[in-house]
This record gives sequence, C-alpha cells and structure tokens, in this order.
Amino acid sequence: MNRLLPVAVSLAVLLGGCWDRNETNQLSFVQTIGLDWTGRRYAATVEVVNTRAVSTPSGGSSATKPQEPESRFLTGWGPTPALALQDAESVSSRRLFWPTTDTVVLGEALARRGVAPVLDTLRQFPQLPITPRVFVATGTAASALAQRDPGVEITEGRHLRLIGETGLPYDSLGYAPRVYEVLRWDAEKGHAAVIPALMAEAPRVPSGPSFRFQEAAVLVGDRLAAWMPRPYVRMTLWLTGRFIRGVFPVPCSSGKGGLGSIRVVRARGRARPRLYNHRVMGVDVMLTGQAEVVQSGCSGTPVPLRAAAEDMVYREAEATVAWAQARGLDVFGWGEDVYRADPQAWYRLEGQWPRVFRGLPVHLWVRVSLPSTGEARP
Amino acid sequence: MPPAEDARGDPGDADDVTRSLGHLADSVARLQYDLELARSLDGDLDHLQGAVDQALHRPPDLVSQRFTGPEGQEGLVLFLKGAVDRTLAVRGVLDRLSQGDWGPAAGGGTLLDRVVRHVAPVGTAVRLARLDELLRAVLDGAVVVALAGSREALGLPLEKRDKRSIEPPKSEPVVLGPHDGFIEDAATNLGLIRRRLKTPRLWIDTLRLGTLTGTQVYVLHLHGVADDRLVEEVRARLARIRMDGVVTATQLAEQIRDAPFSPFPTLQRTERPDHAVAGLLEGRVAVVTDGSPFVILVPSTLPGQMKSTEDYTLHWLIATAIRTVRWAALFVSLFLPPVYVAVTTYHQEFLPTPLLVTLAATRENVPLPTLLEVILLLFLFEIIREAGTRVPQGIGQALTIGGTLVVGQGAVRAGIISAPVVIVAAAVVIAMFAIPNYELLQVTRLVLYPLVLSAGLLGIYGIFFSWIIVLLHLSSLRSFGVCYLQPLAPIRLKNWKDFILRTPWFWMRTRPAGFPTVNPVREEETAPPHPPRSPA
Repeated sequence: MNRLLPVAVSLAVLLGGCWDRNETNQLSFVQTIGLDWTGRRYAATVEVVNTRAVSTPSGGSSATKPQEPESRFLTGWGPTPALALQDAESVSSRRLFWPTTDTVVLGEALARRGVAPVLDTLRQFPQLPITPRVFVATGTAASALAQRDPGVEITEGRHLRLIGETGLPYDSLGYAPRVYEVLRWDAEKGHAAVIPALMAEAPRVPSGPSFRFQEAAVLVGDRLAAWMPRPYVRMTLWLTGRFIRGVFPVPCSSGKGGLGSIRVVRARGRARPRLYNHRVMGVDVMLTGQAEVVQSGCSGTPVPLRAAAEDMVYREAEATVAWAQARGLDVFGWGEDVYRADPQAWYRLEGQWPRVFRGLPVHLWVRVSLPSTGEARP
Repeated sequence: MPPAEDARGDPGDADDVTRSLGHLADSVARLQYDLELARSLDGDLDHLQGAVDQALHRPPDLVSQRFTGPEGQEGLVLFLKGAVDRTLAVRGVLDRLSQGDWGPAAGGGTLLDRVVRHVAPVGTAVRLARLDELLRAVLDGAVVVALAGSREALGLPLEKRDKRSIEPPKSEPVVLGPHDGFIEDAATNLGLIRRRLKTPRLWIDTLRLGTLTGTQVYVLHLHGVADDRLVEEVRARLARIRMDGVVTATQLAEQIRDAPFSPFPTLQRTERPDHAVAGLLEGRVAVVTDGSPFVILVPSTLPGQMKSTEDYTLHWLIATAIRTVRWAALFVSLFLPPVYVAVTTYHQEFLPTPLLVTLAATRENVPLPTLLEVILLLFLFEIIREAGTRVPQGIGQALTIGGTLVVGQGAVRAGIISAPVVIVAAAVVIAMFAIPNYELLQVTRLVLYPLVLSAGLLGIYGIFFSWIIVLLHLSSLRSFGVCYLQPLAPIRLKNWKDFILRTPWFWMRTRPAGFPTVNPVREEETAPPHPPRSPA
C-alpha cells in the first residue's frame, strides 16, 4: 500500500489533468443554435450568454455596461454542420460551453434538404447534449434568432427555452420535441415528426419575441414534407398521448345561439390497430379528456356542456385525422403501433404504409368528462 | 605509522569526553539528591529544618515554625503559605500545639499519637517516615508536624486551593440540559460525577503522574459495567507515562490514545459531568486529571463524537432531526468548498444553466482562479477566527464584524473575490460550528484543505480520491479496541438506534454494542408508556 500510494497519486494527477480546468469567466455559455442551409454550405448561428450583462446584486462587473445585450450571436459557415459550429466558435474570444444549449432552430431550407446530418452532429458533437428542444423556422433560423437591440430584457433563445420548459404562454402551439425524441421518431416505423415552426416577425411589444408560432413542420424521414396548420397540432399531440392544455369554444345546446368555453385540463389518446390475418383492417382511437367550464355561455338554466364538448373535440380530431390521411403523413405513429402489435403485418405492407395509411378506416371515440361543471351563473 | 592527527589527538574527541563527564557528574548529583531525600527522619529538628530548606531551596512561601508544647516538647511545623488554610494551620494546629492540651500521657502511645488524638483537627493525619514523603506532603498542601526525638512526622491535610466556581462548559454549551461544567479542581470534578452516580460501583483508581508535577490522575469506571480489561489497559497506558510534568489532560490524551499521528480524536474530552457519567454508564472509562477541566473518555468513536447532550434532553424526534442537520453540517463543512471548486472549474454541466450563468457573471472580472479564491478566503476566515479567540471579548465582536466587512463586502466590491465564494466560505464556517465536538471541528478544518486542493487539481475525481483515502484511514482506526467508525463500519444495526436516529429510551435497552462491557443490558424490558386503562 505504501508503495502503491505515490504511484496512484501520480497517475491520478497525470491522467486526470488540470488542463481540463476551465474557469467560468473563460467560457461562453451557448443558449441556442440555429442551423441553415445556404445552398452551398451550412450556416451556424450560435447565441451565447453575455455574462457581462447579467445583473448581479454585488455590483462588480454587471452594472458597468447596462446597455450591453444579454446575449451575443456568433456565426460560422462550413460544408458540414460540425464545421459550421466550429467556425462559429473560432470567432469567439472564449471557449464555447455547449452543454448549456437549450434550443436548436433548424432553417426551412435545411429541413427540406434533410436534417439527418444535423441530427447526427447534434448526437455526436463533443459536449453537446441531446436534450435541447428543436424548432423549425419558416425562412432561416438566423432571421428567427435576429439580434435584438441592446438593453432588451429577454432574448429569443430565452423565449424559446421558457416556451420549451413551460409551454404556458403558447398553449396551443404544440410541443417542442427534444433532439433525442426527433431521433427516436426517425427510428420509428412510418412515423412523421411534428415540430413547432417559428416565423420571424417584428416584436408586437418591445420586449416580446421577434418570432411567432404559426404552424408545425411535419418531417417524413428526415425531410420537411408539409406544414401542419395550427389547429391540428394540438389534436395531433392529444391523439399521440402528449398533452397540452387548450380552450375550446362550445356552442350552447339550448339552441338559442351563443358560445361557451371549456378548458381541457387532461387528455389522452390511445390507438389500437385492428388486425386480421396479418392485415391491418383499421385503427381504433380512444380519446379521453377532462375539462372544466370556463364560461358556460348560455344564461339561465344549467347547461349540459359535456355532449357539446365531446362533439366539438370529436370533430376536431376527425378533421386532423382527415388532414393527415389526405397527405399520407402518419403523424400519429400508428405505423409503429401496427409494428408492435404484429411485426409480420408491418413487414407485409412495408413501403406501402403511406398508401395504406391514406385509406385506413379510423374508428374514433371521444369521451370528455366535466367533473365540476357547476351551475351556470345568472 | 599512524597519521599525524591521531598522534596529536582529535579535539572533537576531547570535547565529547568532557561532555560525558559533565553528564556523569550531573547524574551523580541527582542520585545524591534523591538518596538524601529518601533517607528516614531521625528526630533532629535542626537537621530536618536544614534538609527541608536545602531541598526546597529556601522558598519564600515556606513557613517553618518551631514551637514548644505545654509539657516542654520541642516541635516544628512546616507548611506552604498559599497551599493551606492559614487560619486552620495557625489557630487549629500551631496554637493548639503550643498552648493547648495534649491529653493525658497515661493513655499510652508516643507523643505523635497524643498529637493525633487531641491536637490534630482532622482525622486523616498521615504519618511520614521519610524526608521525601514529608516534602511531598508539604507540597500537596499539608501542615507537617515534626516532634523532636520522633522518627515520624505528621501530615495534616489542610489544603486550601483557590479555585473558580462551577460554570457552564464553554466548549459544549447546551440550551436544555445541565449547565455545570468541570473545573480545574479534580476533587470538585469527582464530586460532580459522584453527585450523579450514587453507587458503590463507581470505582476510582488514583495515580500520580509527572515526577516534578506529581499530578493526581483518577481513573473512573463502573464496576460490573465496564470491562476490566479495558480498565486495566487504561491504567497500563497511563502507568507507562514517564513525564516529569503533567499539566493538562491533553498530555495524557496524546500518550494513551490509539493512532497518535492521526488528526482524528480517538478519545473524547468532555467538559460536562453529565457527558462523563453517560460515558461511564455505557461502560467507558473516564480519566480525571487534577488541574484540567477536561475529563478523558475512552473508548470513543466518530459517530459518538457527533452526539450532543442535548440529543438526550430533547424529544427523540426533534433530537433525530437535529442530528440529521448536524451530520449534514459536517458534510457541508467538508464538501461544499471542494464541490464548488470542482463544479465551477471542471464540471460546469452539473449546474442548471441559470445558476451557471449567474455564477459566471459574478466571476466576470475576478482575476484569481476559483481554487485560489476559495483557499484564500478560507484562510482569511481562519485568521479572523483565530484572532477572534485571542482578542478580548469586547474587541472580538468588532474584529469579527470588521473582518466580515473587509473580506465579504470589500473583497467582492473590489472584484478580488466573487460573491458565491464568500457565501461558500461563510456557510462552511457556520456549518463547522454545528459539529458538537471541538476536536472534530478542528480536524474538519484540517481535512478541508487537501479536499479543496484535490478538487482544484482533479475535479470530482479528486474529491472522491481524497475522500476514499480519508475513509480508508478512518476505517483503520481503533480506540481501545473499538472500531472508530462503528456502528457505520462495521455495520452494527443494533447501534443505529442511537446513531443518526435517536430512538426513545424504552427502545434503547442495551448499551452500545461494540463497546467493551460486561453487562450489556441497560434497562429491563418495559412497555412503552401508555395511558392508564379505564376501570372496567
């Protein structure tokens, strides 16, 4: 032991390496990565936190330059996404710290060309986590992440991170998948990925974001196949078992006109393929939800809203399925359900799934409970 | 032919011979002195007075008073002014010897016996036959009475020591619990223990250690509870001490403890009588040293040192919660700075992004590396703390405030040190004071720096590496045959009832397993308390 100890200590010091040491003030913390395809090469826009502008109560560094922007943008180009990221790092005076990356925004051209190289890079690039949320920009990612005027309180990257974390301000905008989820969907049978799309626009309020959510990108394989209209995004997520909250208008059942509102607080969709003799005969879809009345809409007597709510949700779900079937985009992952239920059936129709999906009979059940409808207020 | 230097003789050899002869002469003189002291008394008072003066080198505080008894007996009274009750010595002894009645001579016995029977105001007179015994008695605070023609003298223990009153223990304060602490007087300390242990089973062995100081050391144990082998081992280790001066209990502690080179205390020193009594009741051995307000308790384990008296005066649930906080404080004081250094310099990805960005912002213009920052600040806090214990009480507070302001506010504002490092250092300083054992607290300070350094060199890997070394060391330690980490290692689940958890007393029926005891049962099996049953 006495002889081994010095050897062990020496090895530890030599192999551990204090050269891995990085003081936090020597690092630039990456917040958002934007990737575009310019026609000849990849363009990377990297948003890093400007720690000099972060306010600290101790005074010290922060208060010296209050007008500095909270984040900085580094731009790089390269024939591959990795080289573009490296090129962006080369213009920084500090070492880029990739593990803090929260968001990845992919440009439209890049999405149309194919995101496989980008996903592969995101998976394997040193230090880069596979947990950032992914968005697709209508237009270029760089323009969606446009640099703000100095002194603006919140940056695009932070907006996106907050949206990804809470989803609250954008109830019906969709669920931003993480990189690993996109990778997983890519591996699933016939599954088309649904990724929220950003559209650059002037901020509506001074500290607001310079983008808005309009629709969602649907990726088949690794390419952008279609833009899904906003109303269908929410229902797609519900039908795939991923919940986001939403408020529905519900017509009064008294027949006197007027609209009420319900807020769906829980929803879960389950799909089960109907199989017979290794053939897919259809899909049974059960959508159950729980809602609360926000506004009954119809004055006077208590209003039975449940049937109206179910009817409303049913129609929306039906329209979403119809939209997806019309384009042959299996955004619900039913192909994977078929494969899991009967692999033989899947292999029999492999390659023909988009065609089969188009004509697949879908049996939809919707059940909405309104446990606390209460009485209509006079 | 031998070289010329040999023919002339080496001057160095001559010096050695002179030095050796000097040592020999000293040894002979010491031997002569000892022999002179060991000689028997011969009843010649002039000779005795001269011998005492010579042996003690005519001390100014020695009272050497000749007297003549009522029947013309010649005598000599010897005592030290500051060591005895002077009123008793003069009025109770000297006056009665010279003017009082010595009783009838027909009663038989020697003159000394008559003095013991009729003059000596106390019944514990000791007969002294040799000069060294006489001197020892004088130095111990006895009044010595020697009579002409008598080959024995009488030692009357009229010792009076100035001692401070019993005060709350400073190193182990509690809110709920007894507030009396040991003092420097061993007799008082023994009394404080006896007051709580009114049993004849409390056996006390006395040793006199220190050839010059002659310090009284008492070894206490509960007969029938403590293992005799443990008591014997303590006695043997104490008996091996051959120091000329034993002034503090620490001197003994360092010489009887296991692993003397380890910084971890393998025995416990306590200032609290209730703590000492609790230790005795667990089958441990206590060593009381005269002149020291600390009682040594052996054996001692690390988990035991994390216990406080208050754990047993509070409700068991609250005590358990407090113990948990205390253990957490121990880990905070050991690991917060190294983990901070490791995480902020090597493993930034461990931190949530907002926290990391905030930390980075606070370090924006700090010129020092984090490692140096932490070590510098901890060191400054050490200096402030050390200075705070030295300066007078009134100034101490000002110093602390000043130090905190200078180090905390000033250094951060000047951009020399970042604010989180101040928080980390302050948290460590505060957490350390949650550790109930003062010696363990000091060890924590010692272990912290290597941990911080290894974190600065190797990151989390370094912390684990250093901590494994510390754990290996801790698990190799023994305290009088008891594993230092038990009940943690080896795992003794029975003892976990009083480890971090403090279960109710009716569940702690046995003494801690692993401690050497001959009677493991502390309490007969009883049901937990319950309300009285209503009459049928």
